Amino acid sequence: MLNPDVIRLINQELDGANSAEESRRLGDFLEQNEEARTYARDLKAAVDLFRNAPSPEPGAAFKTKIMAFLQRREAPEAKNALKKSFFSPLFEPLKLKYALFFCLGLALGLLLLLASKFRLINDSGWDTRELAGTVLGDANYEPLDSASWEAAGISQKLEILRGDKILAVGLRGSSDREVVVTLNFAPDQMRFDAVRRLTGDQGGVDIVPGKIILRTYGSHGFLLFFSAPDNPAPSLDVRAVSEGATLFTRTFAWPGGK
Amino acid sequence: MYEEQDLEAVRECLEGDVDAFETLIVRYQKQVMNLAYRIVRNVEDARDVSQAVFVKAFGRLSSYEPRFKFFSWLYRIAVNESLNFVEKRNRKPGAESVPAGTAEDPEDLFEISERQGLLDRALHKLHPRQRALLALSVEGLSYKEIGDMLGLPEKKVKSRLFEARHKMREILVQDGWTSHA
Repeated sequence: MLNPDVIRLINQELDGANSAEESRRLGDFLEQNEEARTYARDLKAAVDLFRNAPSPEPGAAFKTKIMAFLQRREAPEAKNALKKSFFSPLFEPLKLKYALFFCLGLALGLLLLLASKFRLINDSGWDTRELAGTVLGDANYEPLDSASWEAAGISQKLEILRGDKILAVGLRGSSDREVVVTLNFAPDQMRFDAVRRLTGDQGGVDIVPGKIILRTYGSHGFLLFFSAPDNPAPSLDVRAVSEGATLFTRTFAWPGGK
Repeated sequence: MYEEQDLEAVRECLEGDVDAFETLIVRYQKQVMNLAYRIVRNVEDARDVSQAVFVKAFGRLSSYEPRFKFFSWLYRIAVNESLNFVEKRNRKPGAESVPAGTAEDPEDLFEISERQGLLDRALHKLHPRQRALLALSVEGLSYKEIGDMLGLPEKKVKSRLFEARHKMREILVQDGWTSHA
């Protein structure tokens, strides 16, 4: 049975990882020990057999196949992601019933016009102010800030509004992979009240003290509400990360009071 | 050697030039395929795994950190993909999966195929992770580089690699292989 230290030196010698001193020590030992010599020779031959075994060729179609797949997959998706409007996913379930949808839309439009109290929200954008007002029954919102970020296959927009002792945050967009958007806030400045998913059915929301984590995927829309009882100077730290890469990071801050 | 060119190609891909990825495929297809084959031990499976490696790498380019060598990053994906594949595979690869050796003399060819048969049987008796260690070591990577790829400390890499070699030699000898044949 060979000494583990000799086995280590034999292996390291194969990897060219021995120091000069270790190589010399191993050489001396091999000269005197037949068993170690056989082991070293066998081990080297086994490794050479493995190293020199015929290797397969990728083949002529290898590269072409991958490139064709990438071109097919990437190009249309990127195009769709840019073209897709925020509201289109709302209508996706109705795609097969276009006729019915059209009629309903027409009737609704007529009603809206007749009542003169409605404004059409077209699918080219999301009126966060209006939606926040609809959700809370209070249209008195003042836009504070907004930001948007994009990457291949990802497009997101964040809007921040202030109501009476309330901060409303809208996040919408589309992504072909998970984007984690974290909102950090100071619990002594404001309190998280509610989150409403307006569209999309993938991803989720994690609520931890001082932090809301939105896991977004596909087409998505979220509306969040924070209460700020004394209308203090609110600030919000926003960070969007996908697959380890930071897409957006910013600390939003505004003057207090209203 | 290719580090700068690799980075340039990655940059172009991230700027939307999908064709720039072709350079990286051409540069590394052989190595990736060889690495995958040494782990999965089936030519067709290795080809499928290698293609999946490049597709996956492309999809994850935005997470590639330029401080690492591109090929190390690609190798890591290849090792993981190959190991995942082997774990999922519930069939044993057949003898026809071994690539043919090249020799003009029929006797040489016979000897090569005999030796390959022995090696193949020995490798099938090793754990896929042991095959991965052997494969990475013959690529000339340092213990540290192997450790980074497999998420192992250098010391563990050494002990597991030496154990894998010991086992491979033992199986070969038991099957009648002689190093001076």
